[in-house]
Formats: sequence, C-alpha cells, structure tokens
Amino acid sequence: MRRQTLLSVAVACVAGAVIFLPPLVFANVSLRVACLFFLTTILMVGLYVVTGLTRIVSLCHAALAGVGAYVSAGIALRLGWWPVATIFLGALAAVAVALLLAWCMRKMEDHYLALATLAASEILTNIFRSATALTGGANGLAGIPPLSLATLNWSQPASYYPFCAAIALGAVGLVWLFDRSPLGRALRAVGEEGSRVGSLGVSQSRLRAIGFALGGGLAGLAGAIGAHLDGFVGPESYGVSLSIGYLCFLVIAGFGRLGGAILAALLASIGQEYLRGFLQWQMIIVAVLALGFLYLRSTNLVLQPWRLAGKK
Amino acid sequence: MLSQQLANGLIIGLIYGLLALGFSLVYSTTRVVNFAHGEIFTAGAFLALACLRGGLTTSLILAGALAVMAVFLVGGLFTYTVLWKLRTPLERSVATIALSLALRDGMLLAFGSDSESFPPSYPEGALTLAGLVVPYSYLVIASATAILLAGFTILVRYSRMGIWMRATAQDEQLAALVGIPTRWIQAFAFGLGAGLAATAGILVAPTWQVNYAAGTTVGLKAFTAALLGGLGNLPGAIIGGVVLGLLEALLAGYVSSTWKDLAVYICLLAVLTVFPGGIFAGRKARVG
Repeated sequence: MRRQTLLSVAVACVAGAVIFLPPLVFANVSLRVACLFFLTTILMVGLYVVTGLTRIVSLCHAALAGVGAYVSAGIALRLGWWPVATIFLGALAAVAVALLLAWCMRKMEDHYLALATLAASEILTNIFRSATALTGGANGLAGIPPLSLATLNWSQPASYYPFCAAIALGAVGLVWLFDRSPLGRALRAVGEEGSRVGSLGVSQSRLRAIGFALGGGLAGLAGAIGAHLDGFVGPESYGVSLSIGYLCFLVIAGFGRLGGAILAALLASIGQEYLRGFLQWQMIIVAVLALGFLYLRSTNLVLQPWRLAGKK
Repeated sequence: MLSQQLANGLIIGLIYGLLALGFSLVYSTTRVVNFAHGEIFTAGAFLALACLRGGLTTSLILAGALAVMAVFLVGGLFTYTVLWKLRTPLERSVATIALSLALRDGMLLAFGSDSESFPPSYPEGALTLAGLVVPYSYLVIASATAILLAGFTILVRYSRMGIWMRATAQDEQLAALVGIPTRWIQAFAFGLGAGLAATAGILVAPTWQVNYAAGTTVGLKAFTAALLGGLGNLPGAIIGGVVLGLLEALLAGYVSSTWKDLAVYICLLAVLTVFPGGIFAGRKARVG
C-alpha cells in the first residue's frame, strides 16, 4: 500500500514536471495549442461524466459552455471584475442551467433525454442570438479582458499556460475522484441499469442531476476560460453541431473511460489546430469514424482498452 | 390578415406533419429516434436539385421520385447494416446523431453555404377564396399531404407489410419467432420514414430556398409535432404538425418572429417535462 502511494506521488511529480515545464522551452504557438488541449480536456471530462457515467447523450454540451462564456464575459466586461473570479461564476451559471434541465429530465428515459438536450441547446443558442441587450446578438461580445488577477495580467500563452494546466489537472482529478467515490459508482450503476438500481431505493433522478450538473459545470468553466483567452464570444461557437462533434470524438476515443475523454480532447484539439485546411472534410470524417467505431464495437472487433462502454 | 396568417401556418404545419409522420413511423417500428430526420429532409431537396442540374431529367416530379428512391434505399441499407447491429438506445441515438453531422457537412461540402433556389415548378398564381389568397403551390402541398397520409394509413393498417410492421413494433422478439423478417421490416420502415422526409423536403423546395443548415431547425419541429400527436399515431402526427404550424404563425404575427422558434423549443421541452414519454405514453406504443 505504501509503495503504491510512493509510486503515485512519483508519477504525479513527473507528470507535473512534464505539464508545467513547457513554457520555459517552447514557443508561443505550441503553448497556445497546449492550452486549447487543456480547455478541451476540461470540456471532454465533463462530457464523460454526462455521457459515459450518467448515460445521457448530451447535445447541449457546447451550449452549456456558451452559458459559462457569456456569463463570465458579461460580468468581466460590465462590472470589471477579475476574470479569474468570473470564470467560476460562469461555471456556476452553467451548473444552474444544467440543474434546471435535469429537473425537466427527471422522469425521461433514453431517446427522450437526448431530445430534451437538443431542445435545450436550441433554446440557449436562440437566447445567445436574440437577447441582443445582454449577449450582443449575432455580433457577440468583443474586447473581453484577458485572464487577470490583481496586478497579474495573463495575455500571453506563456503566462496563462500554467493556469490552464492547473485547472485542467484539477478537473481531471475531480472527475477521477468522483468516478471512484460511492456517488460516482452509484451514478454508473444508474446509467447502466437504471430501473434495477431504482428498485434498490436509489433515487435515479437525483444522481442524474448531480452528474449532469458536474458535467455542465465543467463545460461552463472551459467555455468561460476560452472566452477570456479569445477575447470574443459569439453565438456561432456554441451550436448543436459542435456538441455533436464533441460527442463523436468521445465515441471514437471511447466514452466509458476517463482516459477516453482525454484522448478525445487530444484528437479534437489536434484536429482543430492542424487540420484547418482540411476543415470541410473533418467533421464528415469524424462522424463516419464514430459510426464505424460504434459498428465495430457492436461486432466486438475493437481493442479492449478503448471499449466504449463498460460492457463485459 | 389573421386568416391569411392561419392559412400560411396551416401549410407549414402540413409539412411539419409529413416529417412527423415519417419520424413516428420509424420510432414505433424500430425504436430509433432518427436525429438525422431533418438533414434527410434537406438532402432530399438537394438530391432532386442535383438530378435537375446534372441534366438527368428536366421534370421535377421525376427528379423528386429519383431522389426519394435513393433516400429510401440508402436509409434502408443503413438500418439493415449499421443500426441493426446497435442494440442499446444510447448507441442508436449516437449513430443517427453522427449520421446527421455527416449529412450536414456533406451537403455543405457539395453545395456550399449559400441558399440554393429551385427552378419554379409549381403553377403560378393564386386562388382567391373569400378574401383569402391561396397560392396554387399551397394546394399542391396540401393535396400531396392528404394523399400520402391516406396511403400510409392504408399501408400500415391493411397491407401485409403494415401488419408485420405493427407486429415488430409491438414485440420484436415475438415477431421474429413467428417468422417475420424483422431486420428487413425495420430497414423497410426506416427507408419509408426517410423517404417521407425527403418527399417533404422536395415539396417545399420550390417555395423555400434550400440551405444545408435548414434541416436542424425543421427536424426539431418535426420531433415536437410527432410528440404532440403521440408517437406512432399517424393522423396524430399530421394534427401535431398543423397545431405547431398555426402556433408559429400566430406567434410570428402577434409577438415577434425572432422569438417564434424559441417558443417552439420551449414548448418541446415543456411537453417532454410534463409527459416524459411523449403524449399518450401510457398507452402501449403502436403504429396505425
């Protein structure tokens, strides 16, 4: 047991060094891509909690990220608060929206859950586009202050990199712990065998709400940080097709495991950054690949470690 | 003014109803919520347009028939091969969601992001009925909807295929046990639903413009209409569509057209919240 603890401390130190050293070595461009990867990781582990554990096919993940982005950007712009604080307010707002949605979904099953998230996504993007006074309408909000705390101003990749890395590590750690907590195990059980677990006296809807709120909050956090890094939010960045894209990446990488979510984030950020000229084909390929992986998994041809669900 | 708006709403409602009809048919026979339904609607119109532009034929009817046939075959094949293999609702939802993304971006790639207009195909002019201006195109759409609804009701109620479809809807394993080829039946039903969506797309294409992104919105409205009418209830789907169309027309006329879509989506979420399995969920799901 002690040896295991020592080993995990050592692994954590090495991982920490690998994650936090790059600013001293690499140029700004690759640091920016790394930050993109960290943000996508936060988003993907959120989607993992929602789709992998809770088994809700979420089509409003990007829209929840949008809630975080708009709330954080709005507060930072209008009230002039420090972005380092407002991003957490953005995440809280996303949690509140997710809880409201979870209340609506408390009695739904299977397909209807996905349909409800689709409706929610359209409602949110419509609000982003139409509530011009708050969200700037189709033009979005520009001139969002970069991440800053008191006199520290992180407008360059080298300066915000450690912050993004720390938040991403925190998010992964949080989900890892949640996965292993009694609550997380109960949630996984609800996802796999809802009605049977219900007959044991476990409240499905409450657990589902917790899972959905955690996932939504992480999406909101990622969206909020992204808004301050880009300096701009617009309604086009949070549509349904983005949510579908995230879902497809998660399916390709395997949605039953936390590792799958991180791999999905890696694939998504590499795709977004390095396959720009390829953009038009990218989503088609991703969608077809996701279909292929679903098909192959169902005929048991895919390698063990990246199996989609925990089916034995 | 009011009656004119209601007439416009009625026609749009019939289109939503046609889409909801296909959606309902697919759900009740295969237990698949086809998230690509809206994209198939647009794909039908684009395929017909491609037939016309490619010089394959000059008549819209022939081009439309070709497009619908193609969609029927591809949809059936997709179900026979891919969807049949996926047994959990989660996998099936994700599969149609991925299909919708592939179709949407495929259309973007093939036809670009600009709206395309169809060559005018309906008779010009309008009928004036008691002060109400009804373009001939509306009459064509309305009669086509009536014929399709009647045809599908007869098919599902009385034909052998329809009886097999209903048997598969009620109990797939039992149906397979008595020798019904459930895999083919599901593929057939999915193809029919997709074909109906494509038909709806082609019917409105000459009066609307075709855009690759239009399907998402229209598809979501078809889901709402199908839920309003009760899944598996074919006349109910058309009624649900009409109710939705009228609601939209009234909202656009009296509140604001910016918020009319939002109202429909909130309506969908509210219906799902109050009736978590759709309206009529208490009854055994059925077709016909």
